[in-house]
Amino acid sequence: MAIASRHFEVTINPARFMTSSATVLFVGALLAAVLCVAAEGAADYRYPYTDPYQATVYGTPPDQIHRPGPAVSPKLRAIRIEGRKVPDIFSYSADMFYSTALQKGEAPLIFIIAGTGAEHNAIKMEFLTQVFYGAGFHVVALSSPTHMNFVISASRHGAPGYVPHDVDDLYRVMLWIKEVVEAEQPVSEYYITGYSLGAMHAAFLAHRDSEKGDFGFRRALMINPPVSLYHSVKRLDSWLTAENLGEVTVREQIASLIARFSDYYRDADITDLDDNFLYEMVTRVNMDDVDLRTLIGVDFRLSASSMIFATDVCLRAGYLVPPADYPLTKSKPLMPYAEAAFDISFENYMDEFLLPYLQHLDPSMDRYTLMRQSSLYDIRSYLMESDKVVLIGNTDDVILNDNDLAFIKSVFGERARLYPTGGHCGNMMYGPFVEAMLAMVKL
Amino acid sequence: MACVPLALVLVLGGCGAAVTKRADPALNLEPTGFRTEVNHWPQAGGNDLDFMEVYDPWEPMNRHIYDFNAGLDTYVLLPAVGVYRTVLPAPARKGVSNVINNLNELPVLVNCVLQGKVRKGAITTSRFLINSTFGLLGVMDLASDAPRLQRQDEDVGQTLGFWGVGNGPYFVMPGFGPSNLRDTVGFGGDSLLLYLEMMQVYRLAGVRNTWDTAVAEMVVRTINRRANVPFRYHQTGSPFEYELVRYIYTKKRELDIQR
Repeated sequence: MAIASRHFEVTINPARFMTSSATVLFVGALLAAVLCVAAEGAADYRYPYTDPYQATVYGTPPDQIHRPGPAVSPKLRAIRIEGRKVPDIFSYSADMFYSTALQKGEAPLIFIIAGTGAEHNAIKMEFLTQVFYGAGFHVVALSSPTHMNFVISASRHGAPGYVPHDVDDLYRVMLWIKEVVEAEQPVSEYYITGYSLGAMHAAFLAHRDSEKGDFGFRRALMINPPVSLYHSVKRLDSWLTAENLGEVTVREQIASLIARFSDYYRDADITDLDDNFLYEMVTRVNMDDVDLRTLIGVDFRLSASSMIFATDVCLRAGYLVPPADYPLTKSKPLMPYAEAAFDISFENYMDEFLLPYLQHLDPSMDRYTLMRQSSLYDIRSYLMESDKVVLIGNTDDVILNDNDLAFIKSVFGERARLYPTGGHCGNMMYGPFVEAMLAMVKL
Repeated sequence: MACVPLALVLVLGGCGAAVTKRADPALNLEPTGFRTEVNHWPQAGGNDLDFMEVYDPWEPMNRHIYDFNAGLDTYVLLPAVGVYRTVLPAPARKGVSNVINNLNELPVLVNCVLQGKVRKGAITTSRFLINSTFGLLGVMDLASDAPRLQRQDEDVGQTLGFWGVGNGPYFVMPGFGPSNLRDTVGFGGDSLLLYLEMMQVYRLAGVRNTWDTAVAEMVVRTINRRANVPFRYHQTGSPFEYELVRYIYTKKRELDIQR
């Protein structure tokens, strides 16, 4: 989710902290001692948002974000596939971009795969890059195969969402990157991680590697994965329907949210909009769970519509853009397509585009196979047996249902660490969560 | 003077992505012959995103300018910012930014007056006085330490809007980015105010070669402005970036005029 604001600027107020501690001491030494003991017992995990939708949208408060140590500026890199017929309007996206943060000298290397629609340098990706670099890894950050840049520049079939194809694409690109990095710095061993959909990709990549043996991953860390891609996106899709919104239309609901944010901005006495301002705005504007679900749903829908448009133009499949509209020139207004794309749910895309396309490539493909192969059920026995694969997440993750949780617990057992709160990736930057993540990778 | 940064850009420029080339005929994105049976072609009429529509009769031209600006950003401005960041340490850059912001307080004040905004005008005046004196000619932004003395933002475009002048057509200014007809006129007005102010400043400072100094100042202002805007072209991850930027710009200006 791209909603949670960027907030690396950490503001701690020691004065206020000291004052409150002092007050406790004044109340009585005994009481203070009791409080301290109690606090220590619960000190492991005190993530502030107990509402999973708040957690998902708000993320972690700036003063509780893990500080990864000295900052590194990741290096922007690109892969160009020569001879690839990139549509003219996407010429700016012809190269596949990724970023690296390499140690000086030998180190283990970790690949990080972004979540749905996210780029290699999205806020969460940049954060994970800093964290793993700080822990001594060479880091390679990759965009999600569902991000338009990946679709346009590196995808073999041009239509993301079918996990086996997306994993083929990632695996190929990772082999190329392996060559590039090894030519610059020695690599001691390989690791892989990812969050959200990227976590599912990470598990499939570990599985693929166990068959091919190119990387010999020492560990694969899944952060907040879906269990079934299509079950999870169906939930996200449902938040823009009457099931969530009742009588209100999507249009009215979005307008109401924009009006609330506008009011907040208008009344704020600030010109320089920094990350803290954005965090405060998002957390202070009054939003109930219906609003929060709408925001998550809209964010997801916008990523999906970018992906669907890019896919349709790359394949000229006539799904969004009528054949008569080609060639699309750079001066062509795209708003009509954006509006049409916004009305397409992920499930529409699967049934109307992806499945028929896969059947075009392989007539034996069916809906059940597509869904199964895009879920962890497809590699269940590998996940059960392989100690390499570990999982960290939250039991209140908004993209999981009870069956998904039961699957995670039964398949991973001790290798899964689940927190009671945090929603979907909301606690990913929270100190104790990050420390647990690192401990699990280094196990 | 002005040639030094330009030369540095040319020497260190092009420090974008390091590209690795690969060839694989299977990845050439050849036509597959596949067509979907169902389609979602654009249709006229009500829609969930119609609030994002902006009056943009010059759109084809604007989109070309947007594309040009993206190229300018990638090949000139961002490399220049890179050099700037290498040459000047962060505290010095902060000082430069503060001095420029301080000089910009005067046009802001003029616009506060033109709109009869007393409180904003008073804040801007206080800021200018404090920062120009105790802040050592604006190098330090001491005023911002006070919650009630935050920097205000008014310009001629907002003043025109305040007095009822509509947006006019959306317009992407070459080299400067999103605007509209009213704000482009306003930009001219603000530039004139700054010109008048800077001529006085040069006179007070005893600058003889005003032309070269003005060019150098322009370069520094441009690089400083770019360094302080986090926006990057083609980083929204959306093929509809032009539309998103157009909407956000228009909405923000609408709110700024009301502020």
